[in-house]
Amino acid sequence: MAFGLVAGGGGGAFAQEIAPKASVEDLRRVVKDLQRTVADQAALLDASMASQVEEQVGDLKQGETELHKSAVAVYGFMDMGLQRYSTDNRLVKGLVASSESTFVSGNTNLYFDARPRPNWRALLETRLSLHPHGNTVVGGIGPALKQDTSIIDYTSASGRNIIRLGSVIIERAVLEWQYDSRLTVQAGYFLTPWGIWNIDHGTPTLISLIMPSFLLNEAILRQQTGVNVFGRLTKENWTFGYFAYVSNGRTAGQTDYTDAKSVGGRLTVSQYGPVTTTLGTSMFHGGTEDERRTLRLASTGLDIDIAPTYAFDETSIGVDLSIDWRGLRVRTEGVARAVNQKPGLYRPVQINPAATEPNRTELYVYGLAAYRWNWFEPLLYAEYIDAHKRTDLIDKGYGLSVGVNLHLSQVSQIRLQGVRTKLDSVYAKDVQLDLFMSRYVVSF
Amino acid sequence: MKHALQFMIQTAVAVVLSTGCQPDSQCDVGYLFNDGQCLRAPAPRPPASPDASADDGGGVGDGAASDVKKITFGTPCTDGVNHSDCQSATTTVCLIAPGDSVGQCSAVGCNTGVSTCPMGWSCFDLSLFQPGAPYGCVPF
Repeated sequence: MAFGLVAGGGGGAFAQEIAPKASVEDLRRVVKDLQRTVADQAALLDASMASQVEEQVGDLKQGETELHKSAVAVYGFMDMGLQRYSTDNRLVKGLVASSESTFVSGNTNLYFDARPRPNWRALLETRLSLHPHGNTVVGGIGPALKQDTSIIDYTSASGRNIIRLGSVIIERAVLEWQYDSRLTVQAGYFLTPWGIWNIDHGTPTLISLIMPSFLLNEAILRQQTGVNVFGRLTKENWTFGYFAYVSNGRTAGQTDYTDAKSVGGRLTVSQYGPVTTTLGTSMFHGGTEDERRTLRLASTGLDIDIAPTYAFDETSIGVDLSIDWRGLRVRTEGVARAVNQKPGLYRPVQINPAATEPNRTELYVYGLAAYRWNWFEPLLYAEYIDAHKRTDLIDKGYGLSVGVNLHLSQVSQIRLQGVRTKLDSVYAKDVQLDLFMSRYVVSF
Repeated sequence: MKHALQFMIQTAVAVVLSTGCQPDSQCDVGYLFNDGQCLRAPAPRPPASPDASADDGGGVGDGAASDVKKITFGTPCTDGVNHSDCQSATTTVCLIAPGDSVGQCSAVGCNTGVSTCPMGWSCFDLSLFQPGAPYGCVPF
């Protein structure tokens, strides 16, 4: 009896049969072939149902008119959990959402993936959220502002029950044209191709629950609006990947107040084998400007003043490394971000308007290691940041974390993680903040 | 492939090396870097008159008055009206939080350059506590 391994490739399916007494070398060869195939498919298989959609719609034949409505695949993931912050610092305690144990409804992410033709795609990733109900803003001296979205549902039969408004968060909204895996042109609101975390970004695929500080502090933008070109080349067991984009960059609103566009990119090189390694580097350069508009009554009639309030340039560069060997997964990312503000337009510190942010070079680095034995995967995580400023909730400090991922099935996981941080911020120095979090995740 | 690897390794090294460097000029003209923020620099002080006291280090004399308590930022004080217990070369006011009877010596006018705040203190809009109050140095 023989068993077969079948995988669909970009140019068609192939099958390999292995003799019952296949040697280890034979098995390695098959695994390598499969790894190469998976690499080829990766650009096309963002969505697990994408191929089904293509089969449903198919190519238009010559002279054929549009007969099918565009099929849309809907998939996603959802998570919830129990968490608790713990700190002795009264100020920091008052800044976290709750320092008591609390259940949270986390991500409810839905993907709407349309591929009306094999080379054309529109992808919308949304997150349905209970935000902003209960959001507490400590914006300065005085009582914090708490948002309450409760309203009376006057359309209900009873007419007086309370409902709470949620929100839809757009994670990305992109239009794509793909030549093949070597070239894809993407336009719209795309995920910044940066490092490891931001590309994985979904709870089911991330190893650690913690978002790195360079994303929490928005040193690196999670999303940008513009045009992004990417692709990959595979040669034997090597794969080279590239991303290059032009965008609005960091903006105070949705639009850019300057003609100068931001640019960035990413390069990766991967080697597939018994040890799979990916080394990557990411770059970003852009300028940001905000302005204040004031309508006033002039001697000639109504006039409007437009004055810039702050402006700065930033250049970021990062390196990342992924190593996979058997059940071991190692990930590390380092980011350096230089911020240079324009004379007379230094950005004020939000909590202290008499001061401005300094020019600086910020440093962020984290590393994690996890080892998976079947359904059980313990992990270690460490992070260090020094933003060389004191204007934010966390400007300097480190975090150490241990956790475990329990893979209940291919689509469900339970994740438990404890974190100890020591941090300096605009509010206090040398503060210890501990966090326990858990998530139950199901992808669908 | 070899060149790609070399480029990435060189990039990584450049990142590591660059992280230790901070810009030569961290703040705008007229501002000084202080504890992670840029605070307005003090206005140049007028030249001291010949008969002025030689003491300029906290309002405390070196000789006969050496037993007098040194007054500086953070020195406990109680006179929130006349600020008599906070008069020194660097401090001018006694800031007492609402509801407290004891405050700390500090300085006001830090937003206009009249004074500057020491390490660990920030220039803050005190009118948030009391309408009409000026900017002053507070410990945070």
